[in-house]
Amino acid sequence: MSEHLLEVKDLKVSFHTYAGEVQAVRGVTFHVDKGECMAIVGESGSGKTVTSKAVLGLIATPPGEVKKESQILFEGKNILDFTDKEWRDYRGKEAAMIFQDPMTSLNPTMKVGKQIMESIMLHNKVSKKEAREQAIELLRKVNIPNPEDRLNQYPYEFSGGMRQRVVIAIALACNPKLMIADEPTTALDVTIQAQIMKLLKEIQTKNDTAVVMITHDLGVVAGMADYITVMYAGCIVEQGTVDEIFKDPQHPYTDALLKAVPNLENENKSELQIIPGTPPDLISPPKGCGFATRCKYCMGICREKAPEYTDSSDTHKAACWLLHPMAKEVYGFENIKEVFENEK
Amino acid sequence: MVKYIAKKIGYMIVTLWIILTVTFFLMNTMPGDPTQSSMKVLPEAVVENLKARWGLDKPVTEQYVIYLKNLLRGEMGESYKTPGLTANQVIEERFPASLRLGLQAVVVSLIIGLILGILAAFNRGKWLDFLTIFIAILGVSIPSFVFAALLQKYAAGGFFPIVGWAAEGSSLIEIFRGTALPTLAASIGGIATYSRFMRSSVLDVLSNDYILLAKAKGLSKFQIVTRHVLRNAITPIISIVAPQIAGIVTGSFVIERIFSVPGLGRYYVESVSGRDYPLIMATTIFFSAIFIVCMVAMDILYAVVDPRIRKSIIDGK
Repeated sequence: MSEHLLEVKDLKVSFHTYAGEVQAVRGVTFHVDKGECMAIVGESGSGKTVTSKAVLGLIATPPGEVKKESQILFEGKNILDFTDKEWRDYRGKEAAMIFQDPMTSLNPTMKVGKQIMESIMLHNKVSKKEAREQAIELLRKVNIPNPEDRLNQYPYEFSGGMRQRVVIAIALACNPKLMIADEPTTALDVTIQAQIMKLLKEIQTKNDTAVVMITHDLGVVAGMADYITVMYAGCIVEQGTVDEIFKDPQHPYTDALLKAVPNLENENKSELQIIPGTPPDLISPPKGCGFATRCKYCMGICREKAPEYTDSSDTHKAACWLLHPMAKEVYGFENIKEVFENEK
Repeated sequence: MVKYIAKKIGYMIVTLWIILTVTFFLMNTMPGDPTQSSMKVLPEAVVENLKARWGLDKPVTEQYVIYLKNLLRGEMGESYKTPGLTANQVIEERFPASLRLGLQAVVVSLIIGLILGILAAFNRGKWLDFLTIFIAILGVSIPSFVFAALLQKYAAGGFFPIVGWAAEGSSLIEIFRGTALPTLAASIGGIATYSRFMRSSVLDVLSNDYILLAKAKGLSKFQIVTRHVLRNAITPIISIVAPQIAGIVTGSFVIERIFSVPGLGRYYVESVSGRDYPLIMATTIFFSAIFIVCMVAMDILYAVVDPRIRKSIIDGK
C-alpha cells in the first residue's frame, strides 16, 4: 500500500460540556494525496470543522478530547503523538489553515506584512529583509495590488475579500504540503467567492499542494475538488469522486443535498427541496443511522443498527441500509438511482 | 497628530479653569470662615485684622480676580494655618514622596496584576485561576489600611522599618528598605483590579480567530501571548489605569498616615478641615491638573496601541 500524504483513521473527537459528552466526530476515515483536493461537505454541526481542526491539533483540550483509537497520519507519522516542538514545526510549515471569517482571523493591531513575515521567519532562517521580499512576493501571488504599500497597512484598511487573500498568503508562506480551508468563502459575497476559489485552485495546481476544503455549499466545490466526503452527525455517510457524488449519489442524504442546490439548467422549474427536521443530538447519538429520523426511505433496521459502508467502486462508498442486497431484493430495484428518481 | 494634541491641551486648560472657578466659589459659600476654624474664639479686632491681611474683607468676585492674577504668576498663596509656608512650598516638598510611592505602587500593581490576569486566563478553571479570583476579591473588598496594618505586624520590624520613609538621594537599598512596605500596601487594590480586568480581557482576545491562526502558524504559547494577545488585551486596561494613576500619585492619605510618609495626602484633609483656603485651592488644582494630564496621556496611549484609533485621530474625527 502506498503512503498517503494525510491519512485520517477512525477519528473520534468529543467535547465535555456541562450537559454531557458531545460526540462531535464519531469515527471519520479519509485520506488525501499530494496535489489532490478533498472536499468535506456537511451542514452545521456535522463535525467537519472539528475534523479539520484536529488535523492541525487546534482542538482545545479540555473541553475537547481526541479519542485514543484515533490516528492522523501525516507522511506516515501519527501526528497525535507529536511533542509540542514537533507540533510547532508541523503547523504552518507542513500544514496550514485558512479560516472561515477573514474579518476576525487577522490580528487588528499588527501590520499585515508583519503577520505574513512572522510565519516565514518562524520556519525559515532568513533575515528580516528577505522575509519582507518573500511577503511582497506572496501578496503579489494572491493578487493584491501595490504589495509594497499594502505590507505596511493594518487589517482594518483591507476589505473582506482582500483580508481573505492575506490569510491565504499567510497559509502559503512556507509552501505547506497540505492546506486546510475551513469554509474559506462563506463570509464573502458571491463574486469574491468565485475569485477566491479560482485563486485556491491555481495555488493547488501550481504548487502541487494537497487541499482539504471544508464547506456546506456543494456548488462551491464542484469545480475545485477531486474527491468529496459527505459528513452527517459526526460520521461520513458517503465518499467518492466529484463525478460519482454528483451523478450517482448513493446515500439519501447526499441526494437530498444535491436536490437542495439551485440549478439554472433545470427546465421544469421545480421548487428547491428542503430536508425536513434537524440533525440528532450528539450528546446521545442514535444507535442506528444518524440520518434515520429525516430520511424519506427510513426502514426498521435504520433505527436499530448503524449501516456498514457499501463500496460501489474503488473510490466510492456510502453507509446506507438501502444499499444492502436484501433491500434491493425486497424493494425490487437494481440501482439506488431508481429509488431517488421515482420519488421525484 | 500635533493638531490633535494641541486641541487636547486647549481642552485641558479650559477644564482646569472651570474646576478652579467652581472650587473657589464653593469654598467661599461654605458657612464660616478661616478665622473660626480653630477652637479659640478670637476677639473681634483680631478677626478684622486677619481678614484684612488675607484679603477676605473684599467682595468674593474681587478675591477671585486677585487669586487668578497671582495664579498666573505661579503663586498660590500662603497657608493661613502655618504662616510662612506657601502652597508652592507644600507641593514642592511633599509631592516627591507621594509621586514615588504612587509610581512604585502603579508599576508593582500593573506588573503583578497583568501577569496574574494572563496566567489566570490561560489556566481558566484551574487552581491558578481560582487563586487569582480569590486575591482579586480580597484586594477589592478589604481596605488598604488593613493590609498596611498586617504588613506592619508581620513583615516589618526586622529589615523593613515599621514606619518611615527613605529620604531623596539615599542609596537604592535604602530606598527599597524604606518604601517597599508602603508601596506593597498601596498596590494591593490595583493588583486586584488589574488582574480581574486583564483576565476577562485576555479571555476575550483568546476567543478570536487570529489567536487560532497564530497557533496554526506554529507559534509557541509565549510568542502568541507577547505578539498577539498583550497588545489587544491591554486597551481596556488603559482606561481604568489612567484615573487610578492620578489618584495614587497625588497621595494616599491613609497609607501615608500609617507609614508616616512625608507626602501630600494629609494636606488634602487638613486644609479642608482647617479652612486653609490657599491650600485647598492649591491641592485641588494640583490634583485636577495631574488627573487631566493622565486622561490626555491615556488618549494618546490608545492611539499608540491601536492603529484604528490612530487613524481616526489623523483623519481629524
